[in-house]
Amino acid sequence: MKYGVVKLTKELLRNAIHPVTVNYPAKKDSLGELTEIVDESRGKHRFDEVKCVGCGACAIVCSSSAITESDSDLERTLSVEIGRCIFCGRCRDICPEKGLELTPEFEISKKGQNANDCIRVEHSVPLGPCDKCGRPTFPIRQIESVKKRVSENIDPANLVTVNKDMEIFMRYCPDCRRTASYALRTHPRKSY
Amino acid sequence: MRLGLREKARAYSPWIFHAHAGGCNNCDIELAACFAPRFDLERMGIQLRNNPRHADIFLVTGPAPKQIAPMLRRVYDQVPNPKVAIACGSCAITGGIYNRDDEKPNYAIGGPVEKLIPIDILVPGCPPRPESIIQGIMLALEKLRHR
Repeated sequence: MKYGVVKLTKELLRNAIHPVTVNYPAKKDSLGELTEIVDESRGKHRFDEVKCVGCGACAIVCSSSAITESDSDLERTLSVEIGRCIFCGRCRDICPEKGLELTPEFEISKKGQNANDCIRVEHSVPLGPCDKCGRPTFPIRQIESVKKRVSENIDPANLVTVNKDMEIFMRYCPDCRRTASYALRTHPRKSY
Repeated sequence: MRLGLREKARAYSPWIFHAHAGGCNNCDIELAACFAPRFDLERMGIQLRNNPRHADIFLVTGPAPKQIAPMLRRVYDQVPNPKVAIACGSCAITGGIYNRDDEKPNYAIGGPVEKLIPIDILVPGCPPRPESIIQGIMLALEKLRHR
């Protein structure tokens, strides 16, 4: 009992000197030392304008389908619907170019009547056309990054052949690649 | 705008009714953290009430499954005017992880909440940080002041 009183008094004195309550909406500076918001906190998304190549891996891996990719004639748009996101961070982990990050920004509440009023984070990358049919195919920067990554990881003995194949592969859309596979000599059975 | 005594009292000490409409209980834990010593909303006169008739702010968490949907509407109607509704968490806004595709909605979900009751504030996050919830409540206060 006596020990309890001593403990309680110690606690009271400590709280009187160092208050634990954050004066949040009034003073945002007080957040720094007292809250658990650190650089690794997962908040609003940010696409890196330089690093993101628009491969769409984040859209595939998104567990609540908050990230969607849509292609127009000129560019591919990746958009994050914050009102659907569960901030699991899988998009950031899967990104091969580290072009997507979750900033610790937490002030994402908004006035609005429905989900469309929620914050959206959008990012567009230019698309390159297919050499044969002219349809938009892949983001230009994605092709470069794939070429770079393949040539870094491949066995040097096959490097010349693979580079030559990639030059052909990356210029055409998947449909043209299939229909013209004999003419381009990209068919899997090359022994014809 | 000049506020009367009643409006002033309402704007400076709004009471919150928390409606739990399905969901995983995580938003509710973060809401409890808002009233704990670290963030302590009660220092601003904001209180949690367990009676909708006492409340000014109606805070919904969860995706509102079909079983709870009519009850949610009924409880919302019991809150006296003027009132502000907050959708707290990604589930309440769009259905979140429970409702991945709007064209093929989940068979068990009667929501999202915006289909059932008029929503004024959106607090995204899964769960939203206590700071986000506090920011949402501050936005709700602005709205309450102009009602």
